[in-house]
Amino acid sequence: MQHPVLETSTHGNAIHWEGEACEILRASPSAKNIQLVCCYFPFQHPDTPLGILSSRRTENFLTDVDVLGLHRAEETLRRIATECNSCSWDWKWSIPFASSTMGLTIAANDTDKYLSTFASKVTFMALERKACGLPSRVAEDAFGGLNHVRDLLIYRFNHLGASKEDYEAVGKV
Amino acid sequence: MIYLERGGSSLLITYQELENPLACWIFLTSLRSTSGSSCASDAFAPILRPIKELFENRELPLMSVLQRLKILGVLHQDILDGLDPRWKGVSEEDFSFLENVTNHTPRGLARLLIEKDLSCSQKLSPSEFLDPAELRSKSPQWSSLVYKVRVCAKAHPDLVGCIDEAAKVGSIFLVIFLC
Repeated sequence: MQHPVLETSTHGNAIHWEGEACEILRASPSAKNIQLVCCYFPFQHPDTPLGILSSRRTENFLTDVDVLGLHRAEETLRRIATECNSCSWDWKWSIPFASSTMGLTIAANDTDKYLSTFASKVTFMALERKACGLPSRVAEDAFGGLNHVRDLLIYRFNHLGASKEDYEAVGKV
Repeated sequence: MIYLERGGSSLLITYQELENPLACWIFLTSLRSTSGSSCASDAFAPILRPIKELFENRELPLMSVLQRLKILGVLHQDILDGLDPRWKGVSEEDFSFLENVTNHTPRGLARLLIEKDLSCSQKLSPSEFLDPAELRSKSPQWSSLVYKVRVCAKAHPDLVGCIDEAAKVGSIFLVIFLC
C-alpha cells in the first residue's frame, strides 16, 4: 500500500471534545444533534453517554417525544458498543489454494467474497475508535486476522515452494 | 483477482487486478516482506487517517467535526459497496460541498456553482453539451462535484432542500446531477 503505518495514539484526540459531546447529550433540545453525537462521537467509556441519557430520561418534565428520542439514542449507543466488541475474523480461513478441484475463478471469488464480507463487519465507528487510540475489539481482531493471513502467505513463499518472483513478475503485467 | 497455476502445481502462484483493498494489502505486503514489518492497520489507513486528522483539527466546532464524520461514514460505506474505488484516500476537498451548502444561502450556493460551470464549460465544445453522459465524462470537475453532492445528500438529507433551491437558479452542473 502507499500509506505508511498509521500511528495510533494511546490517548485519543477525541478526549478534547468529550466534555462538549456530553453537554449536548445532557442539555441539547435537538434530538438530531443527540443522535449525531451518539452515532459519531467515540466516547472513551461507553457507559458515560448511556449514564447521561438515562439520567436525563428520568427527569419528570420531558415530553413523550423527548423520551422516545432519548431511548432511540441509547439504543444507538448499545448497538454501536455491541458492533465494536464483536469478533469478526474466522481464524480457520486463509487464502485458498487454486487446485484441480478448486478452479482458479472459484478460488479467486472465494477470497474476494470473504474479505468483502469481513470488511463490512468492521464498522465505521470501530475504525473511528482505533483512529482515536481507543479500544475496538472488532478492529483489533481484523488487524490480527489480516496479519495472520499475510504471514500464512509468506510461509507459502518460504516453505511451500511458492515463488515470490513469479508473483512479482505477473504483478507487473 | 486472477490465479495462475504453474505446471499443474496446486499452489496458488499469483494475483492481478486486485480490487479488494484488504486482499491487495495481504498480497503486496507478502511480496515485499518476509518479516511482517507492515501492520494491517495500513490496509484501513485511507479511512483511519482522515478520521484522525479531523480530531486533530481543534479549530472546527464539534458539530462540524461530527458532520464531516458522517460524510466519511458514507464514503466508507461506498468503498465497501464498491461504489467508490478511491480507496487511496480522502481529502479536504471531500468536505468542500458540505461546507458550501452549510455556509451559503441557496442563492449563494448557486452563484458558486455557476462559477464552476463557467470554468468547466469553457473547456467544452457546444456539441458536448447535448448529452449529459458526455458532459460527465468530458469534465472530471463536474463528475467529481456530482459525486460530492450525492455523498453530501446521502449523509445529510436535511440539506437536500437547499441544494434543490440552488438548482432552480440554473446551474448546469446541478442539472446534470439531477439527470
